Amino acid sequence: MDDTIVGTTLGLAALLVTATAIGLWIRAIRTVAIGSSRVWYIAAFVIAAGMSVTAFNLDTHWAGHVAAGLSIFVALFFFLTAAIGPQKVDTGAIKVGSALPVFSGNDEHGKRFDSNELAGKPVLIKFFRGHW
Amino acid sequence: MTISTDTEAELLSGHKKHNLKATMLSDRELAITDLFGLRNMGLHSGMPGGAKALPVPTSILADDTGKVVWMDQSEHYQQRSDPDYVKAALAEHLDSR
Repeated sequence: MDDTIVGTTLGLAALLVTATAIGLWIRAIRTVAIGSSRVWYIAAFVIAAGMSVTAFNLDTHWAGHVAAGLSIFVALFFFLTAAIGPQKVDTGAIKVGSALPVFSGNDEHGKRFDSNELAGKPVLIKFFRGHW
Repeated sequence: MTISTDTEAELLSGHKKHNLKATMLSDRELAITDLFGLRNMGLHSGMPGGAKALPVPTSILADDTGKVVWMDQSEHYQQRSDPDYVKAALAEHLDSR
């Protein structure tokens, strides 16, 4: 088959694979359902990168080059966000067995909340990144 | 209850949007987060135009005496405690008493 057709098809397919993986990833973020394993995302990006590199080495139409380049750029961005993601707390962080500290703050209605209101009641506290 | 760096307006919007019943506290300056020692000291902290830093996503279950009986902490900012895992912890630590 013509190198131009093969290369261009590979470039466009690489972008499709990357876009699908990113789409699924964003959907998982929006529903707060990201699993602990990223194997399938990584596999998709590695396959797309392989297709992109092959497309670069063929006599590909410029649209195929652009698609392949975009595919690699998006995959690199994903790996960058994963690489800078690990979290770290101080050694003085609260632990199982610790007593809850006394705290207060404003709630969603701007009303003052004091942790004394929790006295005698069990409570589940979730610290999270915000932006629902 | 929840604690995050969202503003009160952002909290109210999330509270309504997801029909939540929990009390949601705004901890813009991370004062509460620091009392718990949960400020993220890693790289990915703070958001453009938002809070200067972020807490490490953590679920804490305390009993009626205020003692922490269970905790779950995310090692990555993009992850949260699995709801079923949290429910199992609630059942184990609260219903058994």
